[in-house]
Amino acid sequence: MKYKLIFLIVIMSSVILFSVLINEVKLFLILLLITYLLLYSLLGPYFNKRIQNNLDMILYFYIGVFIVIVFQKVIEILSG
Amino acid sequence: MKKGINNRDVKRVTSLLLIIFGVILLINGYLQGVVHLINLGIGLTVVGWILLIFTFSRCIDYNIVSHVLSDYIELVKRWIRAFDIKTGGVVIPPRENLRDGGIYLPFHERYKVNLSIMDYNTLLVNSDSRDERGLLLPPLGRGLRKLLIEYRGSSYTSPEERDISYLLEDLEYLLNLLEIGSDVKVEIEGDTVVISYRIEDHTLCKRLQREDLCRKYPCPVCGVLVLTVAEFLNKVLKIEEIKNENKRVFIKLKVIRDVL
Repeated sequence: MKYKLIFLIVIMSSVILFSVLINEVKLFLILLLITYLLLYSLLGPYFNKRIQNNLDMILYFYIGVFIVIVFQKVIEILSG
Repeated sequence: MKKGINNRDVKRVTSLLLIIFGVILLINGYLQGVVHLINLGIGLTVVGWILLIFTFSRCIDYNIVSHVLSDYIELVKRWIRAFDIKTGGVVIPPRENLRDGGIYLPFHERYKVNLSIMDYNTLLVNSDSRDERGLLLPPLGRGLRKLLIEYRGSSYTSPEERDISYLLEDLEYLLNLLEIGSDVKVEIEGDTVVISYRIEDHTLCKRLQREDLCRKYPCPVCGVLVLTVAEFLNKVLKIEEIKNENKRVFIKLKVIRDVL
């Protein structure tokens, strides 16, 4: 139970901190993805398979968002 | 009996409220053009989603000194006394006819283990040979073993799973997960296997050792360790000794070679 609590506390604190400090949605999403990846890799093994599979869904969603952000940036650079 | 609102329902409602609040903030922030609100909206929606995922999992609530366990141990103690069993328990790893493994308590000190006459429904092992008679009980750690399989998926069949470090990782993981112990060590020398670990709460250990039950029918914590090691080695093991020194438990096992 304590690992879930740690996960939630850290992600909630980072959401509040990033949303206050960062004035750009894309940067916020990337930082949130990094925090999520870090927490998931550290605490993921302590969750059962069902939770891990469900958390994977959030991860895939985030990766999709990340790919869109990267493509937008690439197009922005190429178009000058 | 109809159950009232429990902790899980509260969490589910909270997570749904977080998601709704996050979406409202997101829309509001977008309409007003405030980036901080959009960020907070996205963040809260994600946190609500994660909380919702956590509420759909089963909660592990394990209490080593629970009265339910004490009652079960009391029952086993009576069986052992009634049959005047003096030898240590024999750990049988999971097999075709014994899916969850077992603890075999022979009636005689010079005994033989005949696996062909033991199966899932056997309680009293009956045979023409006096040395093969005994009591077959389900091991107390089998529930925790199933939990370990559910979380880690270890079956010790693939080559990478056959490594001792993998076994140690598994055992350490289980003890940490349930917050019942740590620092597991497994030493294998010839036919002798010594498992040692640090236990958080040794109240039950003291009681079981006082009644000389540990060696015959180990508690769930020692039970899961011996069962996992027996499954890893795929060998029948005899419990020689279980002792507790300064919150460190030592389990000495011996491989039984002549198994029928």
